[in-house]
Amino acid sequence: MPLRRWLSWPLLLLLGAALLLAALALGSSSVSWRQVLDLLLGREVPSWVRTILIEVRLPRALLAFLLGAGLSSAGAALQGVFRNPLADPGILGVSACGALGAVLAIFTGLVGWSTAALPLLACAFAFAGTMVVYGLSARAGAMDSGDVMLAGVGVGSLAGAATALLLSLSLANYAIGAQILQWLMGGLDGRGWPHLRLALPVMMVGWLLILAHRRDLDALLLGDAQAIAIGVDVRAVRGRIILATSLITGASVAVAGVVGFVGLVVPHLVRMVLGPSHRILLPASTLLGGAFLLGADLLARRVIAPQELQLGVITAAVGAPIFVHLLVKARRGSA
Amino acid sequence: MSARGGLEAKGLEVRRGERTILARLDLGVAPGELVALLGPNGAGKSSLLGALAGLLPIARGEILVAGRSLSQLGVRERARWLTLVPQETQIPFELPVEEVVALGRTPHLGRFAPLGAADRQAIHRALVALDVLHLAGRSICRISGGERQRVHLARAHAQDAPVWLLDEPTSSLDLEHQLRVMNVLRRMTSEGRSMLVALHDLNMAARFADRLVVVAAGRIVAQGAPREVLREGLLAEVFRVKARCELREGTVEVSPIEALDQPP
Amino acid sequence: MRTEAGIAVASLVALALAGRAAPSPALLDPRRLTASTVEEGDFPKRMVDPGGREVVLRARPGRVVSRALVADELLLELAPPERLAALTYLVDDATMSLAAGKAPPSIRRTGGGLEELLSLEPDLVVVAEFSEGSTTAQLLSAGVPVLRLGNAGSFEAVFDDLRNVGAALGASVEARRTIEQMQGRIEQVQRQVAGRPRPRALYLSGGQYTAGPGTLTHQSLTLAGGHNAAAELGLSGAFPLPVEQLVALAPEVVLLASPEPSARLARPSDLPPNIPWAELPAARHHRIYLVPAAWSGAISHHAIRALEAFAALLHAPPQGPP
Repeated sequence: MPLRRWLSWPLLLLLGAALLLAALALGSSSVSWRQVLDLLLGREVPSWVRTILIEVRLPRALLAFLLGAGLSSAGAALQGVFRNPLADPGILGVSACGALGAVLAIFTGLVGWSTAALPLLACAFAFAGTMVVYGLSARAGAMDSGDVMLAGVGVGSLAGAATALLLSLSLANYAIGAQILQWLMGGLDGRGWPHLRLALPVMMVGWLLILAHRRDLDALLLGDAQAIAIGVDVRAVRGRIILATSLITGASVAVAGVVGFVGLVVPHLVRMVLGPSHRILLPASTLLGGAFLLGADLLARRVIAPQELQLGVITAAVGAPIFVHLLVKARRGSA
Repeated sequence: MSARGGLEAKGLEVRRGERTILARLDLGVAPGELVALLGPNGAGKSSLLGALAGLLPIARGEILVAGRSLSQLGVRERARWLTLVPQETQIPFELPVEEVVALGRTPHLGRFAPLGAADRQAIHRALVALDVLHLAGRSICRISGGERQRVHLARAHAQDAPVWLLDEPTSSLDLEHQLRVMNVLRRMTSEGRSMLVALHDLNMAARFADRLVVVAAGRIVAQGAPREVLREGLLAEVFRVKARCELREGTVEVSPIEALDQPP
Repeated sequence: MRTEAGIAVASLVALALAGRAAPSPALLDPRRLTASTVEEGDFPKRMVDPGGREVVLRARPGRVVSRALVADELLLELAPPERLAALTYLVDDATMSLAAGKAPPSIRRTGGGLEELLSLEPDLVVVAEFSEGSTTAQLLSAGVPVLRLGNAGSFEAVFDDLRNVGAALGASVEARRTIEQMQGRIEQVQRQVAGRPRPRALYLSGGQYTAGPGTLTHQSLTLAGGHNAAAELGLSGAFPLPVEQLVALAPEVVLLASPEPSARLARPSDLPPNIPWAELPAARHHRIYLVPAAWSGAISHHAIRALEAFAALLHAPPQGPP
């Protein structure tokens, strides 16, 4: 295990760097690897190349990394709080709630009043959604996989229905309708520096909050009783983690819509190789999650180029089989 | 041992909604004393341990460890004085044994502080004391029930709290492992800890405990040395069994004969 | 408790930072994009861009890129081909475009992707109201001058588009000439239909969408001497028409958008099968017509073709079954 652990860090960093480079070099217009290299080395490049690399590809790649890193940490933390490897912002319906908040911010015109309304409403709705899911599933006594999922499906579809209602109310206005649809499908098309600046501070707070509780999250794995016995204020920790994951999910939904399964797939892969201890799991999920979404976005851009696939399609294609695998494993475990 | 404890509960009352689960309960465990908590299912043993450990809110009364009131301590500080090993809980992820034991150091560590040399020593001592050093790298999900119970005790050992509360530590174990765990607890007690252990097995309690406390319907109905407490009348009244109690080799031996249908 | 307060403060500060971070609200809310307006007169001239900011066009643009079919049509009308860097692929699609086969093949065709647009190094990009807002916003933040057309809901709006594009290209004279020609043809149509009875007419595209007030189609139907039955529903813009309401409106003339290059009487096989046509007066009198979508869908100066076709069809003498 220690050898694996030491090897993982440079490998993860290398993977991230390689994908970042690829994300800069590959795109619908013909910028060559050489020009990317020239730009990185500070040499002269045509101004349109500079614009494409600096204004289009770089912020999009960084945003993909940021969202992947954030959603993966949020997924890992939620799995700890729910003591359930299937918990994920998408599956728990948290993303759908966040999307409802974001759509509401646009629909009511609050965004016009202040840009902060968008992440604020998205985060607030994500928080409320998680609390409801937690309340519903904890009420049933022990945290059973089935209860968590059912609560998640229920809350998620309610939020989805409310969003669909807003969508149908705004169909007459093509611009709003198109905007809302784009939100629901999830993707990074057309995202730039402003989106990165919008998401970054909120996600950082959430991420730091999660990281500060890595030992408490380990303790929660032992169950509430043992966690309290070793001095973890379970209620407070749970509240903070739910707040942190809501900040991350809300911020990511506010800029890129619902991108599912990232928080499920990445922590699962990390646990298989490096174990479930959050001291390792959280930073490793951050790096792998960033690389994962960067790679997924690269695929989304390239598979049917010059058109783009929805990013959510790629993550679902990878995530759904792993979800089913975990579900089957959980059923066998409980039988 | 960092400090000598001793546990005392005064006038403890716990409610769930309108219902009183523990009523005005007084209880003490001295340093170096192993007290067995007995009683039929639903008598309030787990609730008592839960209330003492801070899992359940206390309606009235006071809990003192080494003479200081627990209500004045935060969750973290309380964990330096008193710990609980609950009944077996399912752990959904494959945490290595070593990490579980290391978690015992949590109340001694700052939020961002890594394990220091003293912590590593405490963890090592705990792994050795509970004879689980050879399991250190194994997953907590892939060891036997007896081994898992010892790992949780090792976690409590690493935590270095003078007062231990244990909820049915032998319930899922075979005879051999029951004896092993009880012997370990005896040894831990002899090092000066205060142990309050909820048990089902009356013979095990009689053999290993210094004192027995019998709870029924949220009240203490009897307490004292095993030979004073384990009498046929009490067994019939509290446990609803007809049994024979015999003094043999310095301990009481209880042989259940049949369940009683009607209250006597 | 102090910890929780600290966390709450940190979260709020982060949200406030997020609110300050996005300098271009148009990126988040495309409703904030507005139509551009361009000063008439000599270069350098001022243009108010879709973000509401004033930019200066230093000289007559020589690398103009189009992001919409309507822009293709306007640019081909007003600028010499050598000044156009790219048109959309749609310009060659005869079912939608009246410029199909006429646009010089030497001009590049684009799909309108952001990178492709930037790599063309345009000195002016012309986008439509419905062009994807996020791309427009990104072009703006990359410093590319963007001219956004208006809502094209009336001939007056088309005139505005012609004036603005003309001014931006330094082709105000050509724009004015085109506008005058259109006005002449509109007046001619009005003279032609003056005093005729106004038939109840209904326009349908894609077998489902009709056009209410606020659309060029509505204005054309009215100017062509008809009464747009869809206007009675109180909705504006293009909207899907439920079959029940279609029947209840009882149109005397139905105009169906079609991919064919010329207008003609509809045959039973042309009719969308989900509608009980026999119930409609228009069917009983054999007054269901196909109109080329390239005419009725045009929101450039070519919209005049739809007006003239409507005028002819609405007042055509009744015929027997096709």
